[in-house]
Amino acid sequence: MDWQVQQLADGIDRVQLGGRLDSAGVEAIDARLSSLTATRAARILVDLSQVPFLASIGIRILLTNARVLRQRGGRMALLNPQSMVEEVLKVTGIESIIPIFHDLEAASAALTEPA
Amino acid sequence: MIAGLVDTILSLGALIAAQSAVVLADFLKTLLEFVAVLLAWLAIRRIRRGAGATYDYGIGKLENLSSLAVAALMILVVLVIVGNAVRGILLPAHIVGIGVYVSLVLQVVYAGINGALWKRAERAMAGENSPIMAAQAKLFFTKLIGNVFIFASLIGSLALADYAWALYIDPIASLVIAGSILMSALRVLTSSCYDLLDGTLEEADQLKITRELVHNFDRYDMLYGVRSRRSGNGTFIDIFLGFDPNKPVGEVEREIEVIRRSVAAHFPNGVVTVIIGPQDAVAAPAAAAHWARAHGSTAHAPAAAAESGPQDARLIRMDSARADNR
Repeated sequence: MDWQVQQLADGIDRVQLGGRLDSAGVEAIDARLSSLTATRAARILVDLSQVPFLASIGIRILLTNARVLRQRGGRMALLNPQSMVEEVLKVTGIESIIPIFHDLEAASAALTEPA
Repeated sequence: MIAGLVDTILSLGALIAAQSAVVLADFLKTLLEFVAVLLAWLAIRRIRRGAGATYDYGIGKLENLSSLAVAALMILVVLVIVGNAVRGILLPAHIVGIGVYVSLVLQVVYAGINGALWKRAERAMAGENSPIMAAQAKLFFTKLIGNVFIFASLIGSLALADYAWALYIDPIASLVIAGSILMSALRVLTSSCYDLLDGTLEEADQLKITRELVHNFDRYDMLYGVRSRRSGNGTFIDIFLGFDPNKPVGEVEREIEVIRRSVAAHFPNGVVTVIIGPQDAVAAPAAAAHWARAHGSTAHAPAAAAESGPQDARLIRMDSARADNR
């Protein structure tokens, strides 16, 4: 699983994932994603444009980290999921907790707007 | 089962009165279907009668064991058919005997019955989205194709008897039947082993659990993980959650019950357990860190609880609540 973190304006961390987010993918990113979310009130934008497959275990890792972020006053959003991946995300109803965006500016605005 | 027995006896009659690899393959396939139904019936009867004190949990696996026995029988049948087909290819001979004509008549009759049952299942499936009806429709359609194939190969062998190459139709057609049995055997073997080895729930079921965890997002403070297994005909799901240490015990218990029930609603034969604490401190470092922060020196407790099973979950719940009250 490919992993890249880019610092955007307004203190947003854009996490670019690449590859299948299945159990092997989760194992590869679990500690790294946790290190971003567990230490501060981070604003994380998870870019899923290069993720062709998302398993339930992948959704749960997003859910776990969203929960940690919420406790710390941080936020998480998802960017550009592929159509199949977005369908799976919508089946679980996760967008009510982690909003999904197809536009970087809109996502950044949502992550930086006051609570 | 009675229909299967009649079918087997008729196929045996055709086999005795015929010299044809296809008729032999048809008989063995029919016999297999009958044995499979018989074993499944015996297993279900035994399961319904109960396990007594000897197998508290494992009696459901009888179903998987009977499937494994059928798979082994299927492979044996494939070997017999392939052996007979190879002999037919090395020593080609015309198919002869009244049994060939008996088999032709049987294929026409069975094709009519299977075709009617397939159409009926298709009509029922159109009315309601039933997986059982869909499976029935698929089963009868597959049987119909089998009948048509056997009929065509026998007719072909008889009609083209003047051509030397037509001698090979019969053994080659029997090899095709062997191939279809082998495919079924591999499917049965895979699914039986998966269940016997307590395989994790399929992705569709996992998504149901995740949907409920999303739906109940505000009831817990930490999602540490989910562990599931299918054992025999039962389903077991462990959900590892964390709760605010300042929350009263009664409230935590109520939240747990709501989450447990919402997940259990999707699994009628399932056992759903909510366990407080991380599932695996090594695999989930952030979760372990969170647990350690919230519970100090008791960080080892959930791992022990997870290994001990559902009965200890309540203990851990009470323990962590007592720690919270201190």
